Amino acid sequence: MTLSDETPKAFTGHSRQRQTRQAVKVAEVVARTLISIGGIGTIVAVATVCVFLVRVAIPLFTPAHSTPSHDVRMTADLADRRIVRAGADEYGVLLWVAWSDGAIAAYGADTGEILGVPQQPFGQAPSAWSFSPDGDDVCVGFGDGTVRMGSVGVAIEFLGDNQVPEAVRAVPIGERTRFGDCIFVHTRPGQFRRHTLRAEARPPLKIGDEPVRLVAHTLRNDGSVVAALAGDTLTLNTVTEIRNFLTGEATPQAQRTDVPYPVTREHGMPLYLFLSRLGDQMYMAWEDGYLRRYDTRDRTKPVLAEETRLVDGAETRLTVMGMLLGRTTLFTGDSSGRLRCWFNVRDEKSPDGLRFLPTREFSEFDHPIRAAAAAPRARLLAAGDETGRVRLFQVTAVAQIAEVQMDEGEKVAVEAVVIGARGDRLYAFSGGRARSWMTVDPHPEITWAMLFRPVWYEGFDRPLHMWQSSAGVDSFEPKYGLWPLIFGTLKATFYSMLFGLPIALLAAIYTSEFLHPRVKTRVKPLIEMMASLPSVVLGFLSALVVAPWVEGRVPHLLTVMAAVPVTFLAGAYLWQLWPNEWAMRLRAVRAWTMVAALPLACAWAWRLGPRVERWLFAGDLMRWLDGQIGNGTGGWFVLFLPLTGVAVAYAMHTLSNTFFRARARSWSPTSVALADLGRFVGGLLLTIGLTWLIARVLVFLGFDPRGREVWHFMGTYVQRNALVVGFIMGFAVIPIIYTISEDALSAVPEHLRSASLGAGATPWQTAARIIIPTAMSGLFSATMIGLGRAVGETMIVLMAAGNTPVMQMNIFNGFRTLAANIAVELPEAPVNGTHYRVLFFTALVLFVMTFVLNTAAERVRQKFRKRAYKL
Amino acid sequence: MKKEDRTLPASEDRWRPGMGRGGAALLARGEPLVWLMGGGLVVALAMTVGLLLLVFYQGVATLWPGPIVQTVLWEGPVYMGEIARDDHYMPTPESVGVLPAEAAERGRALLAAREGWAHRRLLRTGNYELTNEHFRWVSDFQIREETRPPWAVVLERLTWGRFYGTPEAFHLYHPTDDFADTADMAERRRLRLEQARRIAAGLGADFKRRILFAAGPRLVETEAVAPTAMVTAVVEVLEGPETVWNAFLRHHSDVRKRWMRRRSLEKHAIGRINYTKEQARLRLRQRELEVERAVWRSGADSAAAVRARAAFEAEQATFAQVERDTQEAFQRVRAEIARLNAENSRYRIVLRTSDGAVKAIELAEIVRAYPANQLTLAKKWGIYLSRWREFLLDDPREANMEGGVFPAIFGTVTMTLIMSLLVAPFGVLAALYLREYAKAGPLITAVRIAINNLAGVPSIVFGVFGLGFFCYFVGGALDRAFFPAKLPSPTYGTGGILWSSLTLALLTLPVVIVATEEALAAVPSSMREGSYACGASKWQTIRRVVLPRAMPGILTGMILAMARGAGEVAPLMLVGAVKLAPELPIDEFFPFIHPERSFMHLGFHIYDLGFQSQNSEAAKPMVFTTTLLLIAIIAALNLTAIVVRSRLRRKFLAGVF
Repeated sequence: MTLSDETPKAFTGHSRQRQTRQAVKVAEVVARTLISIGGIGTIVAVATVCVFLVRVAIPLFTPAHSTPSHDVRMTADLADRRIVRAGADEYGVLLWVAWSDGAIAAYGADTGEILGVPQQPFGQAPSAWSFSPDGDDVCVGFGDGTVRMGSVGVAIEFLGDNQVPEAVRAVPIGERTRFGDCIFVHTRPGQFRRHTLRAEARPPLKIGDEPVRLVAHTLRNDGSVVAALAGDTLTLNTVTEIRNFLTGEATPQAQRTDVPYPVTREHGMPLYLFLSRLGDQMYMAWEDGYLRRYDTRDRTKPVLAEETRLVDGAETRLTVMGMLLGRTTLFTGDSSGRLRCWFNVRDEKSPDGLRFLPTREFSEFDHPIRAAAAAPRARLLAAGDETGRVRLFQVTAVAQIAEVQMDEGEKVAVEAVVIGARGDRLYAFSGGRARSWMTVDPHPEITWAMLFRPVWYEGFDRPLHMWQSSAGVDSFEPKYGLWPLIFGTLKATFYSMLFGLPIALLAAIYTSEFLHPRVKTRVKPLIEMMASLPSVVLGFLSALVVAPWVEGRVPHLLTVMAAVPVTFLAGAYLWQLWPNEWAMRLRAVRAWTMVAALPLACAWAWRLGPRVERWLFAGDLMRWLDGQIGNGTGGWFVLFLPLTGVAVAYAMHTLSNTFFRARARSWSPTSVALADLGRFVGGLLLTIGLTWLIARVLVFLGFDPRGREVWHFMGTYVQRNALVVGFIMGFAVIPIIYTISEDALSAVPEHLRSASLGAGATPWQTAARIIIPTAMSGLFSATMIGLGRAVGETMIVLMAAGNTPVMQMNIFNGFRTLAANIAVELPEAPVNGTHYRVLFFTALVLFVMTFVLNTAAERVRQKFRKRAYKL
Repeated sequence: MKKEDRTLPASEDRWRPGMGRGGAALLARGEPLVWLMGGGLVVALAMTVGLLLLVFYQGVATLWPGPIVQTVLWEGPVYMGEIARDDHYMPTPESVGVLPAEAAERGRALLAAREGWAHRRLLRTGNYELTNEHFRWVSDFQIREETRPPWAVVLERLTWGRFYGTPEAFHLYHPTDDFADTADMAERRRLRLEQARRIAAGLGADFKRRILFAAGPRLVETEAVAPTAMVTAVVEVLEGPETVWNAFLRHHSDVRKRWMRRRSLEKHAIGRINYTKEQARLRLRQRELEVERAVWRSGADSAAAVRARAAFEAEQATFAQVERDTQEAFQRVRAEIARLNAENSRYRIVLRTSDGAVKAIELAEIVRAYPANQLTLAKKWGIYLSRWREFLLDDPREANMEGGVFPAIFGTVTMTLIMSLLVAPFGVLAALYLREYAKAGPLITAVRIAINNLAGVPSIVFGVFGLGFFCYFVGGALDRAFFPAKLPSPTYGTGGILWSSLTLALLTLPVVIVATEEALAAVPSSMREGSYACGASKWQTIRRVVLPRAMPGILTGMILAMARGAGEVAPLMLVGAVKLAPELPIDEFFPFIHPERSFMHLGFHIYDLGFQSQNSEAAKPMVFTTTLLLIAIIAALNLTAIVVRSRLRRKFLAGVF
């Protein structure tokens, strides 16, 4: 601080300043700006959490939109030949068409220009074709009774600068050019991509003398299976290759089995023949929709397993048929415009235990369907009708993704459709024209219904809620039903609250109303210590210490759970027997007696445990839970005991208390206490008897608490189960509920308490009638916050709940919660894939669940605060 | 105090016998429900205390060196090991039935006396490479004879876990030269044999030690060497447990020192070589990318491209030079390591296991060894403390199941510190803004509710956010902008300590904001007004009056946030904690602090050991100790919060009148 000479010195020794110094002003502005920016920034950051989760999850639900990309005329001679099959590469650069005369030609997808000369890999015109729905492999049959295996597909190679022809090198980056019979794309500096149509055929294999009319094939690890209809004989051939050691040439060899059932003509011509992926099912369909399913699990003995009709109505004709990825589901299209998907479901009544059923139906088309095709890597199905309308469906979701028109003007029939390998392009062919569309729907398999409604997945006998996000095989379909996870979350919450909530609330009331303040200052931090225990510690203890320990001692623990409250109540009734002066003097001892009651309860319950197991669970709980021995009485007894206990207590309170009180006026305290004890014992016996009766009645009515349905509260024992989680989660929720409710109880104004006590109420009456009702909203909000913690708890359930996404209320079974599921699966999910986004969506669900709970708690608490001010 | 008076029920005080309403008064006391509530409290307390005691006992006791027990079973096998734990179970009748008649009889009687329960102990038998198991349950009724052999020794080893056995022999190898320049094998054999004889003559056998020749894998008497055998070393053999043990004690510390030197070479010298090489490679890749970019921008023949290409070629030369240099340095270090290894492999101890197998173990493999049944209390304490030292200061080994947790402690502390550095300014700024600067209104109320809510959002949700936003979104962008040379392997685009700290900072932000706000609100407005009245500006008031006064509250919030952050694991599993991080986030290589590195965390260590490890039984002692450590850290933080609060409060109480 500088002093100028003119200013007189004040008595402090400093000169007086009449103006605020510049530094102060600057500091003020700087501070204001910084704090505002920092503060608002922080709040924005907090908001970002929610916004970001939503942003990642939203693409799951954005509807698809398709834009026409090319409309080209294919340069090819169309004279009396038709398209058998068409295909495209995954980049949408090259198209190929297999013509009925056996020629396979490649076209530029953007120009329609033919690339090179059409290839003739099979030498002659095939009489039957079989294409794989998810691979490049084909099998064709010929008029001379031979079949040939082979492959047709687009080969894509990445080449460097020096590996491409001079003429190609000049192509600007991102552009494509045709060179000979291939297309080059300049992807980035020094890198080119070459697309070539590759069609190959393996040596022919003679399977009969008559012309092959239909053929189907599948590749197994141990060789291929080829089914062929030659003349009127249906044969099943297991093809293995014998390699000649000298020449290295492979010669196919077939092991042929004739299918014994004659091919009937009354349904017109047989048109389609298919084999399932493992070759264990064979399907043959006729033009009027008649289908035969053969059980070919034993390939030397095919059995006709089922006959059914694929179309409704006598006049309706089957127009298209094919297989979806995975070769389990068949799709059919008919002349009434109906598109259906079929697969085998379990059925006890059928001879081979299966039944071929239509499980999805798409009835968007009004005209006969002329072409349909499945996508090679997704469960997408495209179909085109007579009028040139093309639609793209997601099969499992039964949802239409795109709808386009081949030609706006005249109506032309669609001859073939193709879905690009990535599922992002759609091609339709008609009269030598090819049209293509980009369909942007990155996650076609996700709809609200897929997440929240039961879905009929391949191979299951009914629609189910399922979560199964990954498996070993490529054709596996991820199942993203959220209910098992939400159910698991609720189950964890339910059982942990069932255990934790009563203890926490009772302990809070006792601490606030009956505990000496000095003791309270010691006890409360101790329980709060529990809140700061890292949940990973609890999880580890539950999984490695508690769960194995509990496994052999469940009957004991169930007995302890019943014994502890009973012992405390018994303690109370016995305590009442003290004459009043004694009771007053022994007040300090009472708390210690309570402490001693717990080990006492555990001890006698422990001794009783094996006997309880004998009485209720036929002597062996594990086998009883499996349903091997005994009946449901014991289970119902355990379930209903607490309910009847509370009901009997309530009934005795309302019915007999007034009566008892009126009488008790004239009795001596000791006799009242004795009578009260008698009442307690009576109530106990009544509870047990009543529960037994209920259990017997339920069993008589045919209900069993054991099983695998959602509502079965008991079932097969799993070491990591809800009982263990409920107990350990108690450590997490008890301190939270306890602290908040204790605060709420202590916040009830003193004068209310004083007034009540002053008016002659006992502390119990004060607590029950004044304090608890006043603090009710605080207790409610504590419960809500405890619920929030239980819902979001991750580590405990991750380690102790077994993580099987099943929907069973079974207390002895594991579950998988939303939070644990995220922790398990997110590290492995590919970034921005469907799985990743679905997991973000589950995080959002979790966020919303806790947000609702916490907001409710906060609102109630604010209301409570306002009311408390008024008091 | 006041409350105590109040809770004394006035009505009971004045109650006299014969007042008439005695029975009803008894009912009004509501004794049963009071007991039920008390019961709730007792159960809650019992749970807390029980859990803490369990963790404390297990964590403290697990490193204590226990005795070694040798049990001979009725069925024949002999097991030797430490008792890990014991319990009671119900054996099936068959398990008793397989015993010899006499033992079965006694076993049945024992079971009958205990209502079918049997006592069993879990022996840590070790010797995994011989028996393929670490542990074995032994029931009391199976045991024929139980002893504590005086010379039973525990070896803690670098690999294969513990070894239990009695010392049989001590081998000191004197290797012969390999005469590599002599081409003829027979000649070479002869030269080596000659040299071995010379060495043997120099050593001279006595009654305590024998001299043998090592020929291939076998040891043979000096006279009995077959002419076709290649003598690789002369071996001094000491026998008798005590002699062996003394020899072991004499040589072990030197061997350990050499081993430490070797590890330090591997870690630091080779680490530096690799670092130099990687840096050179990155520079080269950077130049390459520049060439690509120049070509992309202005064509292959432009001046920029030519320049870039020249720079790239110059860098190539540098890289080749660096590669040569590092190769040379690498050879030197390898030679040194090979020398140390050769020296160390001269010392071996031979042990006999309880089932009679013999196993020679190199001294360098042994971390610690002691004859468990001969230890004095002082020695036990010595081993106990040395184990704690190893636990706290050493790196983990054996898939984290042995050794120490130093990297995890370091990671946890670093992460928590970075987190608090991040959360403190922002939390305080936000609270100041909300309390002092923002205009009260529905918006601020909503924000406040949102912040309170955020405190209740599950931590895993923050982890999801951290992974998506920090790691992939921000980190990915950083990588593309600043570390293109390393792509496709991510630098910031994956989990790391910075992202973990940021995620946890976000998680703990509500704690700090709420605590700070409450502390600010608790500053009496009279003090603010007084300050304004003296002419202070708003910022001056906040800085000089409000903040110091609110400091205890702010600090408490901070420390509670740290405690919460240190114990949180779920989000870290997604954003950067790993099972084993070979490199610490702070080391001697420029720029010394590596916020992009993944790290080890105590909590994640517990999860990983307890849940993911192959042999959770063997990992259990380690998990309990780690748990104890984590709880201790968190309890220490919580206690600090309490102490800081009370001290600062006292200071202010003294300062305010």
